[in-house]
Amino acid sequence: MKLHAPRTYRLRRRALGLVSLLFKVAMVIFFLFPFYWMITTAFKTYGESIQFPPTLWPETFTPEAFADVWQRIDIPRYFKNSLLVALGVVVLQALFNIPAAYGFARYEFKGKKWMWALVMLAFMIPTQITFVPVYILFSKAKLLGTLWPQILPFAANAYGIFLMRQSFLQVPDELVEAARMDNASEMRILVRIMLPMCRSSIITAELFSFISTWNSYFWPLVMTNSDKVRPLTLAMQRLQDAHQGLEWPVLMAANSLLVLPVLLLFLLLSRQILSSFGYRGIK
Amino acid sequence: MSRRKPKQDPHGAERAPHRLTPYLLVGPAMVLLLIFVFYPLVNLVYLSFFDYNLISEKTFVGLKNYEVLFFLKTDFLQALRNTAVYTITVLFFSLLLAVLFALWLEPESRMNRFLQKSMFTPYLISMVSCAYIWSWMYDADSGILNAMLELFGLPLSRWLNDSDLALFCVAAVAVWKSLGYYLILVLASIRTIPTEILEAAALDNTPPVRKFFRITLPMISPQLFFLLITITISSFKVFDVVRVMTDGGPGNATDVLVTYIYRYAFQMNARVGYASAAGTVLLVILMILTYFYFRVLSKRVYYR
Amino acid sequence: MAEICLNHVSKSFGSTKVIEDLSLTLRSGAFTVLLGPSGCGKTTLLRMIAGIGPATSGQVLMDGVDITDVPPGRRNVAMVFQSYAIYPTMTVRENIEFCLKNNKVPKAERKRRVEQVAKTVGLEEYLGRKPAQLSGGQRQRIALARALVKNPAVFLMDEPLSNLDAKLRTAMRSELIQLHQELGATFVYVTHDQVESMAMADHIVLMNAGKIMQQGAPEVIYQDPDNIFTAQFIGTPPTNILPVRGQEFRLGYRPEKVSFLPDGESADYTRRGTIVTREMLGAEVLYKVRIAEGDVMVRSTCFQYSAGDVVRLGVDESSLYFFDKEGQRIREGCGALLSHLEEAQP
Repeated sequence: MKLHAPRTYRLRRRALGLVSLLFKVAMVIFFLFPFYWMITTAFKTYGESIQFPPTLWPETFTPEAFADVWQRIDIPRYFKNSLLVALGVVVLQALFNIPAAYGFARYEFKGKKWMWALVMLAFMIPTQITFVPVYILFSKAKLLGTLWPQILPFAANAYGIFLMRQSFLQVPDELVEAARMDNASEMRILVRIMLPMCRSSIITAELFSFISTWNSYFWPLVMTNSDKVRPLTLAMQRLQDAHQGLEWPVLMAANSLLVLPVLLLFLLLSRQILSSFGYRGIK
Repeated sequence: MSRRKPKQDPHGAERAPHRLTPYLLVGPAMVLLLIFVFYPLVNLVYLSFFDYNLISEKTFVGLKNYEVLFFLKTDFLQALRNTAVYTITVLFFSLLLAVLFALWLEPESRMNRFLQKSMFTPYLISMVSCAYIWSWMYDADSGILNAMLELFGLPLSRWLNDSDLALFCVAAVAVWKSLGYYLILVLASIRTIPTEILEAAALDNTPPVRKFFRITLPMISPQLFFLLITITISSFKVFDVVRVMTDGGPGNATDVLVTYIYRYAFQMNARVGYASAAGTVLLVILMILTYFYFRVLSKRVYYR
Repeated sequence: MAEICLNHVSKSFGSTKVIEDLSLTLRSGAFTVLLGPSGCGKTTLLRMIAGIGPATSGQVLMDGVDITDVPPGRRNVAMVFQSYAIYPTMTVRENIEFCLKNNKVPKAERKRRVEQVAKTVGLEEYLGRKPAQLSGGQRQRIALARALVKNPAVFLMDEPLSNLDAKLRTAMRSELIQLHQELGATFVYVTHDQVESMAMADHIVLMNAGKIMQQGAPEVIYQDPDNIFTAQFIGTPPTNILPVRGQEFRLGYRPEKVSFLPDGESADYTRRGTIVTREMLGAEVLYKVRIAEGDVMVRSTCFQYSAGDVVRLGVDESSLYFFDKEGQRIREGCGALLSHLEEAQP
């Protein structure tokens, strides 16, 4: 067999590595630049934002756009609505999903099979299909002026039940049996053994719920009829409607406020988030 | 009931110490699912046979709504076609790029992890925010994309205002936003391939392309199929990005199923019955996709 | 056939050094076994030769040619992995044929070689099957066939038999020895099983913690250990190592070299002791005997003793090893040391 000079192999590897590194840097820019662009635009004056060629860093660095946002729309109220809805969903999901998942994982009962089938079916039905009848439901219940239409439909979440049941099933039977031998009550088994052992997947599910509720746009758009109950994702629309011609610094300032909490969360927990999302994928 | 076969359950579920306990645990969640998922589902199909605008009485019209959807108006078929084009575009680029990036970023290194993290960031950010940012970058007058085209002396584009291009601009944002997530999934499945097999391939002097097609691809194909269905389903229900960036325009060049349903249900005199018929069509499409999804899922479980 | 030469190779994973400045020559055409406890670096050496785990520094030479940077597929080596590493999505035939295809061997020749190799390992009937449909032993044969079909100068084997049951393992062992004799290629075989290494090797390289403890023919390694590690790693049960009263050196002798002395007789080394336990092995019996310096194991064909019996043990001078306090064998002036071994009178 013919062997090339060792140096050829080494050189080729080196050159490939360099090209690859350059391309990686380009990709990092491609995926992060839009966020950079959002933040720098937010600190530009309107005049500078439409100037050509655009400036990569604001010449006159001004928080004017943020002040403008603050003045035109009631940011604290939108923010409060977003937070209340997201927290409400997280808390209710813990109350409804965890017991349900535990029931499906650890008990035998009549009707379990078809109930589980219903959960799996619900998992497959997106809100984009059910929104018209659910809207009618809340409108008949005269709840459209409250935050409930944004919270209640997500209090029981098929995907969350599915995920948590999986992790409850992974707790070895011997452990539960040992606890029973030690005369522990069912409640104590759930609280002292199951929950601590499944902590990471519960946190993952809750984190995922929080982020997706915070980010939701479609559902609040459909289910709200006044600014009193609208979340931050809908606030931007107000800024868009306010004038003809879009004032990009103002929009980007509001957008930054919307992005910031999630971005901070990711910066703090990126390792956990990445590994749990990767894990979810394999399941 | 449970007494007869206490040890039969494959998951090792325990015999209930109290007969009511499981129902108390499972019940509340089931009630909520019935109210907010199953009742609306039935009601949707039911409403699709009526003429109803939320205020006046319902009148039964039989299949008329469906007839209008498919035969009397062209805008629904246009929306259906747009959705299909959008889905195929997103699917093709998402899968292709996710696999290519996964192969490229497979070796563990600090730079690779950083790039993965960067790519994943947009996935966590709301689609609304991403859509606004990209609308700004696509802006025909002062957006940065046109500025860059001008810098290189290339002809400018009208991006979202160009009815031939708008749908693809929107699809590009969707790919950009979720690629990092798909990448992580593909990467995780590539990493489940035993390293010895790849080493054996190296010892067998396998050229890279053949290594991919004969070894890597067949071994990750179950997960890729799973991803294919997931992307298809999520593309068929696209709404946020379209609504923010183009709201179906220009004309109805980017109108998709859900913007269509939304428009008829909430903007055009609340034609709820008609919108429900469109919703039922979407339901049927998703059901078919779901069926395939479960087929693959069960096959995978069997395979392991 | 090829000679492999490792020149001052080192390997580290992150900050942990697995192998540091090791040099070794593997004789052309020999069956060399790299032996050692897990984590000793034997597999790391094998992977260096294969090219799938390149050395951090140092050189790998094959018949004098530097192959340090040559990709694994161009090294003219074949490897059998512990996990077999069979391509699960390909049929048996495709698995065996894969390398030939990659190397653009013409179709007719491919078919001939695959069928010949399949016959050698007894897989002719299974060529169309998928690996998942075959048993563990058959999969092992696929891995072997895949290596054979390349007709390489060097065969590398990483504990290829460890996933087989005991009976099959013994059968495969003699098949591999026979194969080596027929092919005359260089075999490098990694194992942690000293019995396997003794049975198969022309040359054993015994390693511990990234260093070579001793190398040589199996007979040499067994009969003439260089240090306490070698003396204890080879042989079951391990060599008895005992302190010598008032001296810095230590004494060792193998359990099978001890004999029970009739009353009144004495040997070069004599000790009185009490039987603590008795384990029946079949052809032999294993006693644990408590003597003044500690417990020693004795392997014997005398079945008559039982726990509590008082016995006298004797070992010939030629079977006694002396080690210094670093554990290295003392080879000079052993006769003088013998005088320190007088049994203390009770």
